[in-house]
Amino acid sequence: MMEHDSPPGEPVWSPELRTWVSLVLFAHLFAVFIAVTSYTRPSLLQVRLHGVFESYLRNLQLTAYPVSYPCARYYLTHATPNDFDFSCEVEIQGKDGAVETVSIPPSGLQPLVRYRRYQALANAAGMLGQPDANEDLNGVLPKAIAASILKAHGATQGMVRCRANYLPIQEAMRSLNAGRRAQFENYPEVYEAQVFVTPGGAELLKKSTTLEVAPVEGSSTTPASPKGQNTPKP
Amino acid sequence: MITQIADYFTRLFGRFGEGWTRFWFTPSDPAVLSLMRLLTGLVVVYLHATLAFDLIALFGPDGLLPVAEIAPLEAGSFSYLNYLSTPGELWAVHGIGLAILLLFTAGYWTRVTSVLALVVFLSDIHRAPMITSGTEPIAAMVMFYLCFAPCGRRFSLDRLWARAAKDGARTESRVEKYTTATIATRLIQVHLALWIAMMGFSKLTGEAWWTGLAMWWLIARPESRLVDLTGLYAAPKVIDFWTHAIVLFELAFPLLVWLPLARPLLLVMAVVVWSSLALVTGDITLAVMLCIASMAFISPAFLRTCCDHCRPRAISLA
Repeated sequence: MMEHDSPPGEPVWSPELRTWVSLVLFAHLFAVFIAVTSYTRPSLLQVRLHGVFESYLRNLQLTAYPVSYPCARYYLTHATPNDFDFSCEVEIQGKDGAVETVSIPPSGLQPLVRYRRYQALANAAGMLGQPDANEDLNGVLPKAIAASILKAHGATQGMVRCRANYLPIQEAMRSLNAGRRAQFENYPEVYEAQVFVTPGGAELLKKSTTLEVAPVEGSSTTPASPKGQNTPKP
Repeated sequence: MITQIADYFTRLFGRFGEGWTRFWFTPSDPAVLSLMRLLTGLVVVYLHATLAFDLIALFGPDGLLPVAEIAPLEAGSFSYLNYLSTPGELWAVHGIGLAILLLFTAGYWTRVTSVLALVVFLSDIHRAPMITSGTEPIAAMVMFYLCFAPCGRRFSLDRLWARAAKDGARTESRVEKYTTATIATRLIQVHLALWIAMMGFSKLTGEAWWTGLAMWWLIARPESRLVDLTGLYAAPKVIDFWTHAIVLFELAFPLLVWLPLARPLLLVMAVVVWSSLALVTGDITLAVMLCIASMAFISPAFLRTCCDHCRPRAISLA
């Protein structure tokens, strides 16, 4: 509906139409306000109100409120063990005994957004695989990832590992040269399981969880420590 | 006394009503929304097209993300991809989806393709939210509001063909204004302001953003960053400043962007802040999408002036 015949700056819709549209706008903005304010530390009331509008907000992707883990990190980092980048490795045991390792994210993927998708997948698997995460959910992604890779290689068993990439602390960089930088980029395991692929599906046999040594939230000197200090517990 | 109080509230509600009507229902030129459609479309086409490289590896019958396996991690939102399993089906639907997104971007039959494009994009997101980032919700938000606006009135094939149908006559020199353009623009503005406030306040709940170390945490992540800035370890004050400047900007933007005098400054700062974050997080599409969404604060008159200044006289898309 083109409305260039109206005087400039004057509304052209009838008051009745404006009233109804205002009502819809108000309801929508209220839902959006609830979605936005529920992102961090929501109160019980906010959670309940978010539940009222949930299907509307979720289906239109208007909320970043996590379902099972923080999918979109708009805070970027809180310097917690969730804020590392993770990697997943699937160790494939061939029938001849040879072992092959497939990593996610694979290196050198182009265009860059493809790498970011695999990195997001590894991050989700790592976050959900941590010891304090939901027990029912922590094997979901490792199992799916490992089963797919094992099937693609025609193997029936292997190992899946999720590793957290610890970070170098700012102060430590002062005494390091570039060559020793790699020492600080150690990758302790947060999730490890044996995987068996059967005709009925895939089975996981969880072996260990080792992020108990992860940095404490808020500490300025804990993003990482040299290799050896953050060694996984048996 | 009671009369005075009643009078006060009458005036208060009256003024609020006038302000509300002026804010939401004054018709405006959809030029900026049309440009946002074009740019958002390019981002969404890029995201959808690059999914083709891994379509079968991710969503195929033996893919990394089988629907049934990952269902407990999702909210059960609609995606037509959940009902497809064979590579043939996936390729066919992906191709159709790409065609729809290209038509939306080009502005062909925009009223219909804007809605279809939103369905395609949301289906991509809802099929596997764990491979998305912060970009997708911003793009989905902009696309949702564009569905209500006449965003094909400029920079579009619809526009070109409408002109061709009028035998190339350039008689229509008046600016076409629409109430729906205003509503969509205002919704994007309000939603973006709320979203950026959410980004700012969510940072405040982490100590790293108070101590100034947060940017170091981002700089030090070798997997994500575009540029290795670890050399900044020697300049902790720069990292502190960078950290605090981002939080300050994200808290100031939702308040100050409504002031006409501060708006140009904040929009320039937005480009700088989002670009700087893209360098360390590697999320270029998020930075681009935030810049596109921020364009909702640009006045159509300014855009028209820029277009008139830049384009050759013979071409008149805008």
